[in-house]
Amino acid sequence: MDIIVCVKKIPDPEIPPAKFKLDMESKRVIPPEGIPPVINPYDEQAVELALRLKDKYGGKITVLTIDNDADTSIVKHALAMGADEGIVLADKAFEGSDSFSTSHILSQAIQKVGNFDLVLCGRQAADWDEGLVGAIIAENLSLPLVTLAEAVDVVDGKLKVKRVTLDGYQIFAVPTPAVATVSNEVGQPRLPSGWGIISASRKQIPIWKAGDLDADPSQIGAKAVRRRLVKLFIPVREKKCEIIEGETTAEASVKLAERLRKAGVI
Amino acid sequence: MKQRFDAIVVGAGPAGCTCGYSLAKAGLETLIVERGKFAGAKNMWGGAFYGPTLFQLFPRFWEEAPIERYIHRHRFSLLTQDSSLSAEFTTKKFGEPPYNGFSVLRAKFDHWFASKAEQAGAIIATGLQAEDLLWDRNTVAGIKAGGDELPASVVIACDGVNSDLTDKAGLRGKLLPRDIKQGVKEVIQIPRHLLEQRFNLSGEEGIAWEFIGSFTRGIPGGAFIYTNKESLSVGIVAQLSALCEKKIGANDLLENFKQHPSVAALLAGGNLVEYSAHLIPTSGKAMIPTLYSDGFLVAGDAASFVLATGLTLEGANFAIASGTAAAEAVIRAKQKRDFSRKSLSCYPELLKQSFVLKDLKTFKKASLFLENSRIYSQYPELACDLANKIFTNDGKPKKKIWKLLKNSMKDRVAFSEILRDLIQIKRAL
Amino acid sequence: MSDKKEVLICGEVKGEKITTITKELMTTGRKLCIDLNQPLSLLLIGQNIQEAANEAILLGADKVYTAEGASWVESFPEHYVSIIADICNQTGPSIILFSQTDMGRDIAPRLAARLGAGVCLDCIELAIDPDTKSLLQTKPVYGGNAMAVWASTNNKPQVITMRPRTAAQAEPDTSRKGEIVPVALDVNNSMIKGKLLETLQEDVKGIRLEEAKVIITGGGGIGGKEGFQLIKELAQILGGAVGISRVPCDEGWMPAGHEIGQTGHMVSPDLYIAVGISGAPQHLAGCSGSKCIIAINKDPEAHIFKEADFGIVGYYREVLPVLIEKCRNLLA
Ligand SMILES: Cc1cc2nc3c(=O)[nH]c(=O)nc-3n(C[C@H](O)[C@H](O)[C@H](O)COP(=O)(O)OP(=O)(O)OC[C@H]3O[C@@H](n4cnc5c(N)ncnc54)[C@H](O)[C@@H]3O)c2cc1C
Ligand SMILES: Cc1cc2nc3c(=O)[nH]c(=O)nc-3n(C[C@H](O)[C@H](O)[C@H](O)COP(=O)(O)OP(=O)(O)OC[C@H]3O[C@@H](n4cnc5c(N)ncnc54)[C@H](O)[C@@H]3O)c2cc1C
Ligand SMILES: Nc1ncnc2c1ncn2[C@@H]1O[C@H](COP(=O)(O)O)[C@@H](O)[C@H]1O
Repeated sequence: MDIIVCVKKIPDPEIPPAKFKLDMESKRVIPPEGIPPVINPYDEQAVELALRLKDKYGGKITVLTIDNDADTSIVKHALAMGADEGIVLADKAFEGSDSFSTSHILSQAIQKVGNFDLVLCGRQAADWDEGLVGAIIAENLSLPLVTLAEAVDVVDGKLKVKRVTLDGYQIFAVPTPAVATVSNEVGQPRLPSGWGIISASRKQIPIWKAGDLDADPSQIGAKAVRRRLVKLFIPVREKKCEIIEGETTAEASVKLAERLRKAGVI
Repeated sequence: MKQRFDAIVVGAGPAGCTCGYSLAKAGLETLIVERGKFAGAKNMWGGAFYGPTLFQLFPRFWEEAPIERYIHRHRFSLLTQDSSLSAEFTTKKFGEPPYNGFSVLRAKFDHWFASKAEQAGAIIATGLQAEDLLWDRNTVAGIKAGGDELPASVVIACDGVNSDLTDKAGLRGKLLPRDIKQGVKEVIQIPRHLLEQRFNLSGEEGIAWEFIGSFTRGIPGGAFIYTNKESLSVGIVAQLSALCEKKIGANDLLENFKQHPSVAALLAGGNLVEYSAHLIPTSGKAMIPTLYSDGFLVAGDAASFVLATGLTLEGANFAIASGTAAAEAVIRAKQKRDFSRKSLSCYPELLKQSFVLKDLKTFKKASLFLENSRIYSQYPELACDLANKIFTNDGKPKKKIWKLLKNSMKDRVAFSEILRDLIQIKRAL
Repeated sequence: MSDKKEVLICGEVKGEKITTITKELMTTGRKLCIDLNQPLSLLLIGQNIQEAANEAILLGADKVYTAEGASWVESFPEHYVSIIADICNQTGPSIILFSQTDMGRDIAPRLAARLGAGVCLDCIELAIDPDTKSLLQTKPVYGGNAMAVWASTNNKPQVITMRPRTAAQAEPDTSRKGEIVPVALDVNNSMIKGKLLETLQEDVKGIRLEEAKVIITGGGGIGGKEGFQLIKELAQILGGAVGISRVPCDEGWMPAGHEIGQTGHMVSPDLYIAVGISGAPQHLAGCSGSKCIIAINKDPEAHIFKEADFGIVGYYREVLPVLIEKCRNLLA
């Protein structure tokens, strides 16, 4: 089974909140010094899911990323985990893209790669938390879509996809090719092996520019966006926590129960 | 794709990058493994980089490497609670290529350095930690990393202070707190024009400024400020065992330092953008492990090639020089197809020819001297007190300076101690 | 296409009733309609929805489109996209509102792409810019570390999903009048390639998290399966539900269905007791709407204390048994 996985580089989402900084003037997040960006965790899980399918059914995994710095690091990470090919899409013309333009670029690249059974995206990119690109790609390519996939299997030539819901799950059967977005329930992605890292670091990663894709110029970049960011801010918390103290922890715990009773919350 | 490498270099700091670069350039199949996400990700130094070592590798490197500023002036200050006494040195030559020293930020610098090694043909595997050595009887035959065995004819440990591999190769035991200093450093962002105005710099000029004094609370150590393009590297280095004994954190000392009135004025309005802590091997030949064995070499901080004279802290240039020497030894061994201990024994000889072992020998006693706690409390106070008395004009008749000195020394330090310390300084420096 | 634009809510029904989350949407939708001077419409798809349609009018819908047909839990989501796109093409809404539910987050982006509309998921506030009349969409980003406000830029419709519990439920008003418009479902089913094989609604033992008045949540600090006994005991005494953070979920100490946060349940109980939880923004995203948050954490520097109303600095094994005992006495 041949799989294409879309992966995105984002600032490390697990930095402590105190390190999160933004510039309200330029409406941009300032990447934390000394903490390198990472592959979007859901995309790493998408790579993991693809690898599980490859382990079971064979085939080839290609990873795609749009990264205007033409940084190959996260593609190489996916290769080190076991993906076969990686392509970076980088062009000035892509700058300022929104989810629609991003999806357009990725859709064109997916078609150029060709010959795939499944496209995997993360359920959302943990920077802007949009959760849009996978679905829009499916629509662009007129393919069936299953969101929040936890597991995929092949039964009678069709994909059997388990979708996580709030209180349980659903199981869908879809013909190939199809698109799925991947949720964290997939579990821990594998660590790259020594040889995996070495062979990934040796690989030449092709960089595709706008001209290499059959992209519609009116659909990419800043001029194509369907909404405008008017404000970006860190919400201020007005709460002030009252720490319940006591001679001993036990005493504090008793006081807490009494406070809650008095306040009528219990 | 599995294969055997000629050489595996562990660590992509200055030692490893130099070594890997030279090996690859000579045509050896070279792998550099670095546990950080990229070269420089986990590294730090004060940020002053001295000497012509890099110049020998890359003539006019300052035109392509991410250099912040060239060090145009050196300043040294003694601090007490609220006073300071400074000396400064500069010479025209410091401002001309090939320059004497540079300030650099390591995340960028190491990244550049590693890319040079990669261009030369080395494979750089980042995010990969060498977990153990691979043995063929008594000969090192590669490393274990990422669950895999990676075989090689020779392994060069450039894995920094606390080198695990040197320990595993049986060349040295675990380091103890007294063998190590703790360094903590902050990068503080300051608008360029303000920084240049405050430190009286123009263009690409920079200053390297070292401090000792009461802020270390008698713990052997000192502080530094180096100017970058738009930021300052501000840090402190203190002996680990003394920190442990007194239960003081190095970051507390850094806070002390930053609050000193004359330091605070330099940092005012700055924005903390990075904090890091790192260990430094205590210099002195006594600390140097056995430098090689069958199929194995040690270079850089892993070999404790660091020089701390009290006025400067140098390690990067030693790392580069020792990385070069290690590469040379391996290249010769490759020609002979013999990576045995005997074949590699030219390594210390090569080091002796460079400044590495010479300098370390010259300053052999420095580390002992630097443990003398009087340097960090009594002497700065003495000097400042004396200066205070000389410069304060209180309208009273002036006394002879000698008399003032005697007065200042009272309750601080005895003549005999000073004499002893002077003799020690002469031996050490 | 009708000449007057409208705000369209895609509603959800459960057991022939309009869900509480849809009632919240009606409040949000009504507000927008006033500012835009447009009518409010509600679309219901499913079986036996007449009752719900009547209810919707009392809740404030000027018009209710009813599409009798397969229900969400039984069909492939794309089916819904086709139905809704069809209706939108006939009615030309200015804003299409969904809840950020399993259904909403799945259908909204694809619908937007099909309509050539703008889209924004997981909004917590909507407003109309008085000058430009564009729709201002506030949405948490960066795991809840920041808020972004977006403005629509064109005259295309805007598809929105709203985070649950960001508005009060609309109240019925028996004097309201409205129109029920049945719509035909002539979707070409052959275009829809996927099929739903199976649905499992896990049996929620005890109280559903979304409906609980009290929630006790254990995090990474609980350290293992057995520690959750204390959490469960406290929950039982206080009549509450048990929640978890990502760590116990990943470690398998508790079933994933209890997870609270950005990727789990979004809850806003009266009382939220966070035990051994550091207070990562992705977790707080799911509980910051709680009326009263209590943090029990051994680390006085833990970020959770910045979000809590009351806190105890201490080991949970020392706190919980005493708290359980005392609460038992107080409530006896
Ligand atoms: C606060 C401070 C200030 C300093 N100031 C100066 C100064 O101003 N000037 C100066 O010249 N020197 C200074 N030094 C010293 C200088 O930083 C070091 O001497 C120099 O970095 C040594 O280079 P190295 O390559 O040997 O080791 P390092 O730079 O420590 O590099 C070792 C590398 O190995 C990697 N590594 C370690 N173990 C493994 C493993 N098992 N597998 C894979 N990778 C591994 C590490 O991640 C690291 O990248 C300072 C040091 C400190 C702490
Ligand atoms: C994209 C993304 C999405 C995410 N979505 C979610 C989500 O939906 N929900 C979620 O919960 N997380 C989510 N996370 C994970 C989140 O970032 C945190 O890693 C997670 O919430 C941490 O869980 P924790 O606070 O329980 O555990 P830890 O971070 O391990 O913290 C444990 C806390 O317990 C305290 N503690 C330890 N021992 C004791 C003791 N004996 N007594 C008292 N206190 C003790 C510690 O001081 C510490 O503060 C997400 C992360 C990412 C990157
Ligand atoms: N720049 C990008 N490059 C590659 N894939 C992307 C990019 N942006 C988004 N994606 C994919 O789309 C998913 C959802 O992203 P989003 O809609 O932005 O939340 C991500 O998890 C990725 O799989």
